[in-house]
Amino acid sequence: MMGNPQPSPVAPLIPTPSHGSIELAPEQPREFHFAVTWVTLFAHLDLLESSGPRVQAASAPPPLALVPVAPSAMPADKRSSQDAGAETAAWEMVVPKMIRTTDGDFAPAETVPRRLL
Amino acid sequence: MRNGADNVQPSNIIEISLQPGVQSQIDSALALRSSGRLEEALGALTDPHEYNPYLYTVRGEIEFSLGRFHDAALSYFSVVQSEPDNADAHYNLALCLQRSGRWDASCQAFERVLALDSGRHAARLGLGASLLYLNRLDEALAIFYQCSDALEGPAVFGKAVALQLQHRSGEAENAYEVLLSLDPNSEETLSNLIALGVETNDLDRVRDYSQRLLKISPQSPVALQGLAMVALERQDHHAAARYCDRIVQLMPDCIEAWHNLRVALDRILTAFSVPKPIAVGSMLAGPEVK
Repeated sequence: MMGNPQPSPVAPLIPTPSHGSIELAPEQPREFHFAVTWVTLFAHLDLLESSGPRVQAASAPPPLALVPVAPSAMPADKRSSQDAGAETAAWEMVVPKMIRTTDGDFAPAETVPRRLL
Repeated sequence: MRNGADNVQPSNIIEISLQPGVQSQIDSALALRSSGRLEEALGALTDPHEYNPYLYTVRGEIEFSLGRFHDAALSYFSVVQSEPDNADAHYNLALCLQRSGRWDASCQAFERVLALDSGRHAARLGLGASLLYLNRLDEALAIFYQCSDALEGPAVFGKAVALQLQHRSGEAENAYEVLLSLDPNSEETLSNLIALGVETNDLDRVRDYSQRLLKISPQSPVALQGLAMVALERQDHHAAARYCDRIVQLMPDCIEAWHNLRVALDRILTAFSVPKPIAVGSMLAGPEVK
């Protein structure tokens, strides 16, 4: 007997067929199932535990401003006749020029309001 | 002396709620969690008085620790709804969906993380793992190639698996060999190499990798099955019976092992029962002296 001396629930062996009985083909082994696994990958995927309430980053004011460059000082009565005026207006992106002040802060270089074209 | 309280008019009374706030719920839960009382910690968060993303984050963490991945996914889902730019919450949601077997949804969550923060290499690895489950092997392979050097080992493993599933045996084996050179005791690498040897019907490799795995893990069913298979193929019935016997002890539900144990024992008995020609010379010489 092999390494396992304990009673085994293996089904009884098929008796050797005697002469005159039907000749049975010997049973063939069954294939084991060998699966491809990738559990290793999950060992590197850990939950990110938070250390406290999330602090929302304060949104900085946009440094760019859109100003109309088309003349808009037209009288209201004239504007009403030119209903396409708003659609034809051109826009220019203006980046305010900043200069460093003596106390290390920044201030707009132009204090005079920008003249519209 | 007049009591000042007499002057208080109803309009001046400030109503102070006696209902505990969300913060106290969170504090209680954190204290309970730190003492290992996860169920009670979760209980402290079950009925939030108001919506708070941090409460749901803590709740998701506790549910994840308890293995309640579906519940954890719901908690993190509510967090990402209120904080769509929270990459950590999206990543944790992806993990919960992955652990729940929701591979497709987890892919979307991982992709969202990478859209928010392309430097999240763990998210890339997670995405690759989920793509493997979805059998989207080309995409998985591409993702593993994008992984950074920080995750070289797992990325190579992912590549090897994708290649193996694509039946690119030679490339897969090369990748696995790289891994074995880095970590000779990687059980899953050896296990997959055994599967690769079975697929290519390379019995020598199956035997070698099985023996290596058995040295590292003497109870490894995969190693024992590999050795049993080789023994059966090579008509070594005693060895086959021995390995199958060990498998059925470890895995009593393995029908193949029971069947193959019976086949091996049958063949051993059949070999005994076959009449052998009598050697006249040896009979005349008398009993052999050992």
